[in-house]
Amino acid sequence: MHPIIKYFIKRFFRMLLTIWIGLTITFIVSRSLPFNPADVLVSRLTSFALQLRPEELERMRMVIYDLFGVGDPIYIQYVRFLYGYFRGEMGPSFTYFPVKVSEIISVSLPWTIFLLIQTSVVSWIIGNFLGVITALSKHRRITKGLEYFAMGLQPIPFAIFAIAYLIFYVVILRGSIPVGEVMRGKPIIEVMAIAFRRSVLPLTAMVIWGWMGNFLGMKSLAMKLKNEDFIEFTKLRGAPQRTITWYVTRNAIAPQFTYLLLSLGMIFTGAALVEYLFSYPGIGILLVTAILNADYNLMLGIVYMSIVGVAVATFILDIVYPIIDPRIRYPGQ
Amino acid sequence: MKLPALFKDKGFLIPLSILLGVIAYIIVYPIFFIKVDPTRWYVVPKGLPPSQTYPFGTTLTGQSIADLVPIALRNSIIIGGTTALTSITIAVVLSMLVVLIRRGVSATMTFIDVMCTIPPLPVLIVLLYGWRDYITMPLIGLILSIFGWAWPSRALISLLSSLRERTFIHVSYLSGLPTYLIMAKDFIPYILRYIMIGFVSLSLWGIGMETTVAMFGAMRMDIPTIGTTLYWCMHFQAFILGLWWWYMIPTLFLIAFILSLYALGVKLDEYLTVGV
Repeated sequence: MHPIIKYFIKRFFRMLLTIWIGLTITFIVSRSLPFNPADVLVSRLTSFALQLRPEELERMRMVIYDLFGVGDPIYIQYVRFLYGYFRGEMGPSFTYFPVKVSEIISVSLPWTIFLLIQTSVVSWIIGNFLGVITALSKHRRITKGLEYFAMGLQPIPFAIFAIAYLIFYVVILRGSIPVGEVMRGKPIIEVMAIAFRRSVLPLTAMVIWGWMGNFLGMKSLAMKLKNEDFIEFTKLRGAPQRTITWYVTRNAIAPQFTYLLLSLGMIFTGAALVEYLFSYPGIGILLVTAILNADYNLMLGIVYMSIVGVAVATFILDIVYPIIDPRIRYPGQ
Repeated sequence: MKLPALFKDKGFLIPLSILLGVIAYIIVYPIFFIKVDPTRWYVVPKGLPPSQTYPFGTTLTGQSIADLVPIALRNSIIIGGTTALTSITIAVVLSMLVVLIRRGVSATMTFIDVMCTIPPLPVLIVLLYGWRDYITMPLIGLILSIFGWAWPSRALISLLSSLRERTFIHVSYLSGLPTYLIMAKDFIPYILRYIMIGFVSLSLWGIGMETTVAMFGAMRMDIPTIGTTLYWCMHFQAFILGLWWWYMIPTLFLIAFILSLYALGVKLDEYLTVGV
C-alpha cells in the first residue's frame, strides 16, 4: 500500500478514536452529574403544564426516561448512548423543546469550525513567519523587543485579553459589532462575505493573541537549527540569506505543524469565548444559552459535537501534513 | 551564577517582591481589615469610585473591591495551584511508569494526543455547572486537571525517552542500581527544571481556564474568583457604565501575580540551566 494511503487510514482511525473517547467522556460526564437530566426536564415540563392529570404526567415521565435511557443497566445505557449519539440522536433540547439538540448544533457548528480553522491557520502562519525572521535577523534590538513583548503577554490568560480587546474596541474606539443577516437564498459568495464580515472581530482578537505561542516555539527551534552543520555549510558555500531562511523554515515546520494539530482543542476554548463576547453565532453563544437555561441535554450535545468538530478539523489539517513532511510521502526502507 | 548572585539580580528581585507583596495582601489584609463577609452583596453603597473610605471603589453589587480582591485572587490561586499540583503529579508518575516499563509507549502517546485534541471547555462547563452546589475551590482544581495532565505528560515522556538512551543511565542499569534509585538520582535532577516550569504554566492555565468557565456563568457565581468578578462586571454592564475600577483593579492584581510568577519561573530556569 502506498504510504500516503496508509497514513490517511491511520489518521482516519485516530479521528474515530478521538470521537469514541469523546463519546465515552460525554457519557461519563452525563452519568456523573449529581442529578438526573431527565428529572430536570420532567420538572421543567410539569411547571409549564400544571393542568396535566397524574396518569398523563406519569406517562410523560416514562416517555422522557425512555428517551434518556434511564433505568437500564449501565452498560446497556452506554451502548444505547453510543449508538444514539453516533447517529446524531441527542434527544430534545430543554430550552427549545421539542426541537432536537442535533438540529440546533448543526446550525452553529459550521460557524465555529470556520472560525477555528481561520484562526489557527492565520496565527500559525504569522507566528512562524515572524519566528524565523527574528531568529535569523541581525537587528538585535527589534527582535529582542518582539520577543520580550510576546513573552510578557503570553502568560496572561486569553479571557483577560479578550475582555481588554472588547473594551478597547467598543468603549475606546467606539466600533460596532456586526449583527446577523438573512443568509437563506443568497448566492454562496454573498454568504461567504457575510460570514467573513462577522468573523473579522473574533478572528483579530484570537490572532493578536494566538501568534505569540507559535512565534516563541518557532524562534527557539530556528535558533537551534541555525547552529546546525548543514546551515553552516550553506553559509560557507555562499548561499543567499533567502536560501538559509528557507532551509531553516523547512526543517522547523514539521514539529510546529504537530503543535498546531494538538493545540486545536485549546484554540477551540478561546474561540468559544470570543464567540460569546463578540456575539458570533457559533458554539460559544449556544453554550451561554444552555447555561442560562440549565439545558443539560444541549450542553452534552455541545460537548460531543465540539469534540467531533475538533477531530474533523484535525483530520482536515492532517491531510495537509504529507505535503509538509516528505517522510510520509515516500515508502520507507 | 551561584545562589547569592541570583538574589542580586534585579530581574529576580523585582518579580519576587511583587509576588510577595500580592501574597501579603491576600493573606494579611483579610485578617486585619475585612469586617463584613466580602461575599455578601449590598453591604456598602453601590458603584462608588476609589476614595478614602473605599480605596478601590465599590461594585454595583454593593461590595468593597478592596475586600473582594484578596478573596477572589486567593480562590483563583488555590484553583491554579491544585490544578498544577495534581496534573504534574499525574504526568510525572505516568511518564516514569511508561518509560521505565518500556511498554505501551506508543499506545499511551496516542491516548495523550487524543486527550490533547479534545476541547476541554465544554466538558469542564458541564461538570462545573452540574456540580456547582457541592463545589469547593480545590475540587475545581481537581476537575481542571482531568485535562491538565495531557500536555506535560507528552513533554515528559519524550524527555525521559531520550534521557533513557544516554550512556550514564545504561551505566547505572549495568552496575545494578535499583530502579527507584535510578529514578531518584538519574532522572529526577534532569526533569526537575521541566517540572518547575510546568508547574508555573499549569497554574496559569488553571487560572485562565477557571476565568473562562466563570465568564460563561457556569460556576457557583456567589464565590468570588477573578472569573466570577468579571462575569458580574459583564452582567451589570460595567464596561459601558464606565466603572473601570470594578474590572481593572482585580485584573491588574491578577496580571501582577501572573507576570511575577512567570518571570520568577523564567529566572529560576535560567539559573538552573547553567551547569546542565
